[in-house]
Amino acid sequence: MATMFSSSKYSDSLTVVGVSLCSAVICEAISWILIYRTSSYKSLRSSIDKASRKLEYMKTTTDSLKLTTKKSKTKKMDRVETSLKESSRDLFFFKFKSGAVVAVVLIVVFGLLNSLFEGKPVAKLPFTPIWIVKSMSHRGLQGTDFTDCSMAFLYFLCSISIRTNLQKFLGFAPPRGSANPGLFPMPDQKTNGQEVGVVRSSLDALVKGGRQILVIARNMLEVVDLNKTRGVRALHQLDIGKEQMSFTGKFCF
Amino acid sequence: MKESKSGNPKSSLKQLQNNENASPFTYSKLLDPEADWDKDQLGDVLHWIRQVVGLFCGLFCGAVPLVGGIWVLAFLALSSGIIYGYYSLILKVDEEDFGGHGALLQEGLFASLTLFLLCWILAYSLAHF
Repeated sequence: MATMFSSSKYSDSLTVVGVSLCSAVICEAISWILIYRTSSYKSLRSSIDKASRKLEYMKTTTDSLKLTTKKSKTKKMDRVETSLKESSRDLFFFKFKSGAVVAVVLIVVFGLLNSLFEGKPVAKLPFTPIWIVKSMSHRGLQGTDFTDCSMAFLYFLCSISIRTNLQKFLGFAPPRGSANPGLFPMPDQKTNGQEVGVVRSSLDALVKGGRQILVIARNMLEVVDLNKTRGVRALHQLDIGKEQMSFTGKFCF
Repeated sequence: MKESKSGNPKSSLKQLQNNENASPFTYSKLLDPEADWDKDQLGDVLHWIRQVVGLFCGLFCGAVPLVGGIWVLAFLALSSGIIYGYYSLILKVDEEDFGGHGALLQEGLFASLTLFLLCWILAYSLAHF
């Protein structure tokens, strides 16, 4: 069976899968060393799990309460939700810093595979890819047969499927309770009128400030144009003066 | 028929308390409609079921071979149907306690789709060329 696969026209696909598998294992090992075994990560993860469970519990019990108790419960829920978001953000930044090393490894591996298999189809697709997929699946390949599969697409499929399942198997998958806030977390979409009003007035101030900047910029350009015109006129008069002087000089001498 | 627990805060509270004290995972829970499920446990089980379905469907489609993009949609429908049938008919869980149908059906969806495509492409390329 091994000889059958090695003699196949697309046996290079097995090389891509093998390299992808090895790089996934190496990346997870690096992540374990830099992230998962640290006490900071463990404490952040447990705080996220606790906060998300507490929030679920409070959401379920809020409906059956009286109005006054509900208000205080809602405030407590907001506090728990805020602390959950802060923990999620801290976890994100913590993983982000160490993830740069993993990203370098993945880039090096991709570059290596690219140099080995550029311009060469490594597999055959059993379907014609849609336009979104085509640019990746036919990357660097000649011809118009879009069922030829490039290394990039196969590596992409390997990365997603192997890494996700490996993380799940090893228990390194991100906790379900954490909402990934990203680098620029969006503000809460609360129905509180005061907060909506504050946001609106801030936006209005921004727009007004922007308009004022535009007006100032226009004025400055006008001044520049005016000075330019004056400068041109001054130069012209200087030229006239020069001609007069040279004429006078000729007349005198 | 599954017991309808949604809409009753006391039963939802009880379910949440059960989640806190959910029994550790054993393989006998996989076919037990009376078992208590933690949200994470159930999510993990559904994830791995999807991966196994993706693996076998990909190898089967590549070996036959089945050609055409329609089989991607068929896989998505089949795997979603299997997951829905499993948690709804076999485990008889109330989806409201676990975030609704959407949350349960999307567990492991993207990973299983990429695994299906990978197995399909590999089996098709190696077996027929």
